[in-house]
Amino acid sequence: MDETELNAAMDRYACGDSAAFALVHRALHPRLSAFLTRMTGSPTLADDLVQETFLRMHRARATFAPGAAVLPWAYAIARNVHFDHTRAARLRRTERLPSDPGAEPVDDAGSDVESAAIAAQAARTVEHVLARIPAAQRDAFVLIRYEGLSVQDAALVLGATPTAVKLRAFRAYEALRAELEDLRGVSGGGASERRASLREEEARDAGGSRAAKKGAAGSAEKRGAP
Amino acid sequence: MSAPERDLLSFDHIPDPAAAVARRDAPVATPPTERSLTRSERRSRLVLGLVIALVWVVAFTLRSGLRADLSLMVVGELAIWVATGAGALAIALHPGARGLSLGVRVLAVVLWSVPAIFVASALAWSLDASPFTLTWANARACLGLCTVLGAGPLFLACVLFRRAFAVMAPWRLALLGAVCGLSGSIGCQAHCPIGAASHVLVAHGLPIVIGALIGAAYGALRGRT
Repeated sequence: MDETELNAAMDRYACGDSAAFALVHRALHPRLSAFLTRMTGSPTLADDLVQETFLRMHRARATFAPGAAVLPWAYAIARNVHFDHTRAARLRRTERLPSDPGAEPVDDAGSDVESAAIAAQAARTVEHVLARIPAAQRDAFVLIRYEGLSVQDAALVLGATPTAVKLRAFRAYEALRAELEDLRGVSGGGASERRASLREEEARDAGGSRAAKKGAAGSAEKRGAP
Repeated sequence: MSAPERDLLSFDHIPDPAAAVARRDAPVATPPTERSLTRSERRSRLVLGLVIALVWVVAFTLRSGLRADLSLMVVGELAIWVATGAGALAIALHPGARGLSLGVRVLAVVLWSVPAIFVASALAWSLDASPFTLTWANARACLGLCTVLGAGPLFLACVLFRRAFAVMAPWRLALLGAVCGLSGSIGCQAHCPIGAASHVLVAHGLPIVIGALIGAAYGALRGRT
């Protein structure tokens, strides 16, 4: 279903046509599910939040403006649901049940075992970084990179200026790129040794007190940061 | 092109941890059985709410009595405030190009403009006012009237716009709160003959700020869809 059809279906639903809900649900469910999985890192929790998102969309269907775009509206509601959930739980990061495997890795059909393992590890690294970085940066990055929203739409969803959203997404991207480069270095071999020797050198140069800061500075130097 | 913009273009190589979830088919769903308003029902409620708010302000103002020196100049001042309130209301409820809201900058500018226009016009119209000493005793009655006048529309706004804004709810409800406070100020200005700037700013203008603060707090707690 293309975006125009989806907007028209939501428009009909806002006007009281209950049959249009099935169309809206079918088109939005996979996207909202993926969006909330990226936000929470847990498909199980994301499923619950998707249900809550659709319930809120139902309750607020009358507020959907005529001729509006349903995707940014739905993402905004999903983000509110996630925000309310994290605020209620007072958790920075989502806790997982032991049975919850976490976000599913990238599709590895047709590839060999080694590249599948690397792809899975990269996906897990991305998931960990997304859980670690500030929520504002994560939201901006997820909306632009994975949900395909324009910077202007993401700014509306996040209630910020386009410039601020661009900067937040860029900071998230930098954190992800650094981690992925580290991962590549590790899988390429010898990176951990290089990192350890860099830290040792730095500790020798700076003395004991500054050695505590070695992690960030060491990896920044390794990445060629100014 | 700046460095961030250049790097935004290379986001694609970051792998997606939820790629498999995004490819899943949606389960079959039926609409929730819970009753919810349709667009036309909501529109009717909004119109009814606006009418009740206007009747509230006009009725309380008339009950308190119009000022004896209601000249064309005073009416002009009131007209400016009514136009400001109407404009701010339209902007707070405007869905914007994509149906979400106008940008945060627009909302912020308009939110600051409401008290700014009030202050500027109050100062301009009080230039030839007779000297006046502001005291709690002479401000209390007007502050009370303004608060009562503005409280009715603000209560209605809180009921009508509960969980109504998907984005920027605190900003938009702060704007609505400021407009409700301004409605109280307009009613009070039509009633009170004291034209001194200190009295108008404090006794008639304070409800605008209070309304905006209450609206922002309500928006943050209960305004989001």
